Amino acid sequence: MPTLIEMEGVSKVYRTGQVDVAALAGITLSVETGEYMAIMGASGSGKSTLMNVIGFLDRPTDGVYRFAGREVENLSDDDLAAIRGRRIGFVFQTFQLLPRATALENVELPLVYQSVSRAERRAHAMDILTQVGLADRMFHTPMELSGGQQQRVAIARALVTRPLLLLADEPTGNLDSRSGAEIMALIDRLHAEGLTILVVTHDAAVAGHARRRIVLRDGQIVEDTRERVGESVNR
Amino acid sequence: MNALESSRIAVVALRANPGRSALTMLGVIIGVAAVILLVSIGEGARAYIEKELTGIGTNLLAIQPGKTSTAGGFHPPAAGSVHKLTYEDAKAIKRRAYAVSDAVPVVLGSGKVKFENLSRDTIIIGTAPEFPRVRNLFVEIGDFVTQADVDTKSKVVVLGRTVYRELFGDRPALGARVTIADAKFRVVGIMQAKGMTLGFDIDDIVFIPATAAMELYDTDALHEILAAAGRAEETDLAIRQIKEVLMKRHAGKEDFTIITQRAMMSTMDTILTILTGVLGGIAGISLVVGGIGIMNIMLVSVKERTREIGIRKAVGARRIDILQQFLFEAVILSLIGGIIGIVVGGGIAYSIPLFYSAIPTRVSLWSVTLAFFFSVAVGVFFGVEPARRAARLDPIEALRYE
Repeated sequence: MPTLIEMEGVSKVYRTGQVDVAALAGITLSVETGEYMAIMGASGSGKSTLMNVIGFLDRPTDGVYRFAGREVENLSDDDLAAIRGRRIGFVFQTFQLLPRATALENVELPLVYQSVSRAERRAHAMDILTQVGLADRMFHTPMELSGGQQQRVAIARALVTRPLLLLADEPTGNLDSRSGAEIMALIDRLHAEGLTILVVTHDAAVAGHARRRIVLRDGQIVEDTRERVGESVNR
Repeated sequence: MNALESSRIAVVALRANPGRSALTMLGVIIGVAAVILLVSIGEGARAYIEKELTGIGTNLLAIQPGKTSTAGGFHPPAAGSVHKLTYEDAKAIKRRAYAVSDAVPVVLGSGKVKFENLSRDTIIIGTAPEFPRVRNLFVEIGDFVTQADVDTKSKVVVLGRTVYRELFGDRPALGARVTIADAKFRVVGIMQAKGMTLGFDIDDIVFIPATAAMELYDTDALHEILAAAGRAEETDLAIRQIKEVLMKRHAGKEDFTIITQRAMMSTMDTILTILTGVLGGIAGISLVVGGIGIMNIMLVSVKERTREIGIRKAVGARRIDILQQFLFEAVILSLIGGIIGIVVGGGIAYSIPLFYSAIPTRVSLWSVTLAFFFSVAVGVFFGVEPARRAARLDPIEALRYE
């Protein structure tokens, strides 16, 4: 399998007042296409920062980050936005849907910024919503949907651009256990279909769905199950 | 993302808060309406005065005793009263200045005109037969003062409409004798009604021969000589010839002033242009205030929608996309406000003369165009800063915003 994500000595330092806080302190990580990996760690361990850097919401302060074989550095905000829009799908704990827009409009949103024609993006968004089981909820606003349904909309939105990577940040954090299980089942299915998935969580049950697990503490990877099972770390 | 998409998003956002959008627009509506309205009043006044002055006759020249300048400047008070203008001067101009078609003596006075037990204080103009032609006036009944009347100092009088109505009502007046300053004058004509010109009632006047007026007031000085150039483009030549003739008669001194209709018009025009500009400027201030209202509401809106901006950025919106979205909101507000303001301002400007005929208005295309583009410019100017703030937001922080 080709390597999708490759990080060498990636660090992220926040300057708060006069104290520098290292949210990431020398992360070296390699993720292959098609992997299903959980990022774990206590709050403040740097797992969210790692997700932001991997997902191009944030830039590393130092180190090398290669994504899909391309070294990505010195990117402008607009470059980051373009990569996010085309290559990454985000799923957030709090869903992050536009409250006044319908499910369909929310799913269409990423395509709006890729200059896809209205008819085309509508058709595509409807198709994806049907795939996540919301064919009869397309014209409902988030307020009219249950938490599990909202997260399905968010997953549909993440998938609509056919991304290389799905980043899920505590995807079940705001859901009851039954909805949470449904969402994880959906994510498992996407993995089975070949999508690369990173799940950020502190929930061992959620992490249990993943084939690989890394644990962060103080901005460093302190555990990586891939090495333990002896898989190759070759590029 | 194209402009159509941005405006669609902007319209959706504006419709989500209809009351707020309407109130914000109201600021622009009032500003634009005020610009249109006040400029239309200024323009209307200018058009009115131009029309009135043109009605008097455009190739008209007034020669007045004493040297002053219509172009302004400082004149010592003593420099004036040097030489009188006489009836002989008027005759000389007419005879020798060939570019001048008419040179009419004017003796101006006021007094009581009596008939039976009625009397009226009015303006008495002593003049010559050409006066009506020079001033675009017409005799309705009878005749004007004739050359023979002037030559023989005949005690004849032509009544203005108002004077006739006051003294005679509807009775015939031709041949009747009226008393002006203890002298009996025979009525030979009645002028056609002309109405008010620049607040002055042309009909409240009586005309008598210039010679009779000089005798009445015991003077040989004319108040002024009204002259008309034969053709409008010969006005400058006429002025030169009048100067030449009069200076020869006045011992080489230029002790008179020639005022041209054009000079009066351009002075008026300057005053009214400044007036219109000042009115428009004052109204423009309210439009700027409207723009500040837009900026205020857009800043609030950006703050409120921080999370939305974060979501849009997370799914691939670039800075320009966000900037465009919020800028379009501001511009759509000011654009619609501008259009409504033009309709409202234009509507009021058109209806004012229907209720108050004393206030003439004219909605000119340039003021509408200017107000329209100015309102759009206000939207862009005051919309840019909030839009830039939105575009600069950090997506991670924006997504976390509560």
